[in-house]
Amino acid sequence: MLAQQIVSGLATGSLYALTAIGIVLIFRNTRTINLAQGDFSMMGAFVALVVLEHSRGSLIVATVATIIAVTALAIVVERLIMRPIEGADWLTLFTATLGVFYILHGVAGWIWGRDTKSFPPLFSSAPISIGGTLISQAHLFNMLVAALIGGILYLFFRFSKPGIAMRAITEDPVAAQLMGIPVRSIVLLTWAVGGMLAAVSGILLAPLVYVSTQMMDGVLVKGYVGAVFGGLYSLPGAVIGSLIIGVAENLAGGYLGAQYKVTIAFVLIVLVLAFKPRGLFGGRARREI
Amino acid sequence: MSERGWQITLTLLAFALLLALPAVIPSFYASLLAFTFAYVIAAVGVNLLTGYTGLVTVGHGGFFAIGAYATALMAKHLGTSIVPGLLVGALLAGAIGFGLGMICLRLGGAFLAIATLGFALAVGAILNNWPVFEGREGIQLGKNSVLGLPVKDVGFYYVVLVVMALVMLASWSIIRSGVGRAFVAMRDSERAAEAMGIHLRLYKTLAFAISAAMTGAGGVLFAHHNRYVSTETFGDAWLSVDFLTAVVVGGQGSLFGSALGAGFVVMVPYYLGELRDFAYILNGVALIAVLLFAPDGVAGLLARLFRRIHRRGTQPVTRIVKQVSVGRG
Amino acid sequence: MDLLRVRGVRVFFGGLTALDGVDMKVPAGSVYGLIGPNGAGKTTLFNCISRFQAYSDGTVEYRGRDLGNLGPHDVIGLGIARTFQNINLFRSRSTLDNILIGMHSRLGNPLAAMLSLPSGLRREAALRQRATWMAEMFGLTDVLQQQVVHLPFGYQKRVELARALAAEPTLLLLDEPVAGCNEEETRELSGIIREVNRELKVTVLVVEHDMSLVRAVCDEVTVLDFGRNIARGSPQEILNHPAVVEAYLGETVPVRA
Repeated sequence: MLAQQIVSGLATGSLYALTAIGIVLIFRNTRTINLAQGDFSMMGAFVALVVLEHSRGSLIVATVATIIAVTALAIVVERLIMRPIEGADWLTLFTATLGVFYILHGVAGWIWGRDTKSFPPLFSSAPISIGGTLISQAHLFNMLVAALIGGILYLFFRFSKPGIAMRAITEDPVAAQLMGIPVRSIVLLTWAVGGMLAAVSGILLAPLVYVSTQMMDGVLVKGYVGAVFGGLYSLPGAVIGSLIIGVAENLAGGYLGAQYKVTIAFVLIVLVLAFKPRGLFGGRARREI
Repeated sequence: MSERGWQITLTLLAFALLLALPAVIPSFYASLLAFTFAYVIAAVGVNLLTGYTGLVTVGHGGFFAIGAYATALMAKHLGTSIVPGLLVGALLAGAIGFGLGMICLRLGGAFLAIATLGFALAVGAILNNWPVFEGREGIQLGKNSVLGLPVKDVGFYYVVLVVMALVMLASWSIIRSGVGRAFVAMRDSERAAEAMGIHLRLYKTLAFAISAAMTGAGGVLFAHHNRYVSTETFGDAWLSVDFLTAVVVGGQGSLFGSALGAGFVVMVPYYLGELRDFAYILNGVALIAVLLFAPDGVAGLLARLFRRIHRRGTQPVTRIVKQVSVGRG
Repeated sequence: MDLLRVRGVRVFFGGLTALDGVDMKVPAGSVYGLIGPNGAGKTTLFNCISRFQAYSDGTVEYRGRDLGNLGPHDVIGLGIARTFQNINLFRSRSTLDNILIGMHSRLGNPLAAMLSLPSGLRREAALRQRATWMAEMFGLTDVLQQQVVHLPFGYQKRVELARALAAEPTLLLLDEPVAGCNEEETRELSGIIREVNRELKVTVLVVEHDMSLVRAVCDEVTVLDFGRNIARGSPQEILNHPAVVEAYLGETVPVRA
């Protein structure tokens, strides 16, 4: 029934939320549309798998190792590729991340092959009942993590001094730099945090979508749709947008038929952008991109 | 000889070469080239919108698919072949492109890119989920013919060559005209363009429509080359991304660049065959290398080399990648 | 005859009243100045006239025709051209291309142009001829093929002007034409503006901060402050006008002796 559809939809949407948050974070501070955000998660999932095999299934070790590895990867990408083209127009930055996307796909396929692998579940499969609707533990945890991280980041940007300084970068990086804000360090930090988020997302999603080079392709796109709902700027907007997508998908699939399930997200994004070019929640005046 | 003179001479030479080629190469190379030409046509379409008008599209795979499926369905149900396929496919793609342009009018930069990506994926999703398109099973096309005359490998090569030449000629004609100037004006400054009398809505949708029609035509020929379409190829965003790669690596705002880029995007996976992963890596590295070292793409690089050899004094009209501050002197 | 008539124009930005019932009459053939301290509403009014800004009240009439329903791309067809503060050239294009784009309203049939039909080619040749002539008039012949972003500032200003005049407008709107110019450049531009007015028979409306330019070229001036008219008259009159002096008090006005 409807409530269940909605809750399942929220569960699906929470899968995209962390990716959406990562996308918005990087975009705000660096004006870069990071197409490789999903593949950071994908690499993380593979690393986690490998570490699990070698650490006799210790999740803690795997998680720590993954976070370190993916954060390092993100930092390498920032240093090697994004830094030399800093200040370029957004298309250049965007296309650079496309290059990273290609490379990561290729490298992962080369190292680990292109078939799908399974990942041990993080939670028991016994669903939890909330108000008559069922939700799996994994999904619930996802939602909580997404909400928590989204909330922390939101508060950080809103109320903390460094957070407010970072907002200056989004408005006008040159002016921010002139005001003494260490833009470069912040950019590096942003990519690192983006990497961390991707790592967490990869581990949380691995048991649910299975591990393969394409595992994050769908999630990435939905994450973008969610991020765009928030105008690529609002963190709560990105989370809410992701949840809306999840719910819309589920409802469309349930009431209109399976074929609409996949289509709806993309049709939605085109329509939302048609009527609200800055996203549903992104009403701020910003630099032209 | 002037630079323009060289451009024309080299173009004619290249064309003559392509005309003579089937006589000296095995027919499967001709087939591969025909396949490449279809990509070139698509890339020229994308370049018109992205390289010249500055509207970034990561969704032209959708128009490619529309062209391909239009002709495939017509071939299956009506028994038509290349010429009606081209007409209907290009027109349909152009009309839908016009619509997409209308919808995306107020979108700039990144938002436009995402919307066009959404479009391509929506097309893919529709193709995958509506039975009439036969999804992964795909649709077979019958033997190719032009105006009733059957065409096989070499004949088909010439057909695609002619269409490619026409599309490139059309693109060149448009770019050189006041309409092409209007496109570039919109890219450089929408406000100033409007003050000059350029009706943004008209010209943006026009750019979208023409670009979509061209890419759609490429899709039609692609379908007739393989004589088969399925969502294996068209169901996702890879094609769209390939076209963007072709335009960036080849050189934005350059017809020659579109040809080079399309060649690159086709040949790399072809020659690396089983080593698909290395094809991906190579693609990515090429993209990044271009962005870091040759923002004008390979075509731009060659043009600059050419100029250095000829030591011309005039400034090339190049695409601005880094932000340039307009100050004194 | 008044070429341009502005009556009771009002513009609100949220809670802020940018223009509060502004009037202005620009006689044909004159060089007219629109001045005022920062935030007075000059740019807003300028944008209303060039139709980049909507207004909620009042009328803007050009040759008796109400401009209210027109978009920014429509006015050039009526003969109103404009330049931009801090110039707004098509950076990746050459000087010639910039001027050619300025003549976009003279393109004729876009289809004929796109398909290089004989009529389109003829029109293109005519446009090029005129563009080259305009460039010559502004001393830009040597830099015709140069990408404008590489040109010195002074040249860029001239390209901007040539581009605006390319379509033979009857009213030229100049948005702070000497912003960023030194004394010599200002003098040069003053001369150019007066020549354009006299030789090309173009009515000019100048929005400006720089009093020396206003004094040098303007026949009549309207002064705004806080979105309202506070004075009108010859440059000499308004420069000594008490309300004007008061409005500018506290501002560093680059008044050069």
